Amino acid sequence: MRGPSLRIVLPAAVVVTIVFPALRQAPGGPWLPDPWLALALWGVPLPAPPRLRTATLWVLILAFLRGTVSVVPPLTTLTGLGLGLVARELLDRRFDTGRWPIRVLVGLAAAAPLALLDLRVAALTGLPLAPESAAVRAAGAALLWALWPLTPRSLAVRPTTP
Amino acid sequence: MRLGGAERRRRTVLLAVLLLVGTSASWWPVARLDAALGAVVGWVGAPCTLAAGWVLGLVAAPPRGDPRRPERALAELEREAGMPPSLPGRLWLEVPVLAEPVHDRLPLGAGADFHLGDDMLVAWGERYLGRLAAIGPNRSEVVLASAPGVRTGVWLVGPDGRRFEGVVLGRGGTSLPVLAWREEGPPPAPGTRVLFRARPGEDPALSRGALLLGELRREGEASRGTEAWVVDFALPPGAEGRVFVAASAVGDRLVAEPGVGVAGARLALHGDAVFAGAAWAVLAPDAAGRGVLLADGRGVARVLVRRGPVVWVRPLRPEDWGAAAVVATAAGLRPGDLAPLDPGDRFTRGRDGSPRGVFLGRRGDAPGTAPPLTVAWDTATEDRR
Repeated sequence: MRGPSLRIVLPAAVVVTIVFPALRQAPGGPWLPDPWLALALWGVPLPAPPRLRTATLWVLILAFLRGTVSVVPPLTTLTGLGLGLVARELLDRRFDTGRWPIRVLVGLAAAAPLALLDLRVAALTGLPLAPESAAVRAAGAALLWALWPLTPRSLAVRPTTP
Repeated sequence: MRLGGAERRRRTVLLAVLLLVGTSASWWPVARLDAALGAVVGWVGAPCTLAAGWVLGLVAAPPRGDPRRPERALAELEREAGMPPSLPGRLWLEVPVLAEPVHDRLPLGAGADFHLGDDMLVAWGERYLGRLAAIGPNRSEVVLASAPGVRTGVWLVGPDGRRFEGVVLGRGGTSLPVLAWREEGPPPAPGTRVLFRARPGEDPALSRGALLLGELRREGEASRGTEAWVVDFALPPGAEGRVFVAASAVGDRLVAEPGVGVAGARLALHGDAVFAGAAWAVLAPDAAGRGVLLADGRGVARVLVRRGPVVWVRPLRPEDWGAAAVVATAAGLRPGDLAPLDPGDRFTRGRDGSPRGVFLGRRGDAPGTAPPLTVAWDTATEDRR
């Protein structure tokens, strides 16, 4: 992610990070999809570029930002986002993600690792997180990605010229 | 850019290994790894946390909580319940208990610094517990009468009040101490009271407190040759906070206070992006380890994790502390999980990094963020970690 893309995406992620704890406590907030997951799915293009440096940096930034406003450890977020993106990449190679239903399913598979790891953190800390709530959040992120399928050019990780 | 097959394989393997390590460390957290990463996030990201707290404060004010003061402090209640009967020429020193007994040895939070010495007698209320050993600079241990191989002289008190000498032998673990020897006399009966008896050459005044080890019980079967008389010795539930040591010479203090660390705190974010209002973040750069967040002198939240200056806590109602709390019931102190509906004052029980005796409030009191905010922790637990 170079040039204008980082200038656009990073401030947006910071704003989302600052505002989202308030949204989470609003009525219906517990069901809102995870914005950092959605940003990861949007920010890393599909198929992934050969060089993963920028995509990795983007995921690291998202995990860091989520860690500033949540008790979920940054490493857990990093792992959940990374596993989700890898799952999406692998499924994209085997299925036609141009079809909407397939795309939703692939999105669900990409959202599942973070949801599972969030549930694990809840179990370890005793914090309340209902499985159905985590499932709805994952489905929401999957739908968001499926409904807005194209990674915006300004967000896309550009392939590096040889 | 096209990558060669070998390079692609190398990257695939590297990514797989990293994700595998990350998954393992997320599922089974590695404290040091989390602490290192968390410190970076906490120090660098604190402005972000504060900004999120400011935005949240615009739409939802931090909860104030219910103000409450305890009728009596836990230490006062424990002292009243646990002070043994007075012994001639002896004073009882109060010593905090650090943890559950391990192998029938009860760790205490004072040692040579409190002028404790080997073999000093330890009791709680009218119960004899054992004798001091392993005296360190600021630590010691009670070797309980149930410890394997420990011989304790006793008086067996018959129904007519006559006393017979005996010796009880500890067996350790879940086995009750067995009556190893008794002087000639009428055969013992179930329910015979077993009192502590001073050693030969020891001050006989120690026996005058009539400290109780327990009552006799028959165990095993005579037909198999396994019959034995055992004493139902047990650590009283009230002794988990402090015990009392008989001393003939004392220093300037009779009470060894447990080590408690306290650091000032400031509310950073009264919510969580994943768990909504179930977790808060406070800024407490001087806090160490786990513990409890106090608001206006009342424990309102349990510390979950510390990331640099940011401490994440879980706000809890007093009844939600469960077994981590003690309740001052009409019948005495009881663990919170055994008296969930009792309306009495609740206090932290300790053991989990929280100092024992922090007032939590009463059933139904809502946690709040009324100033002053402080984080308190048990320094002895941190030392042993």
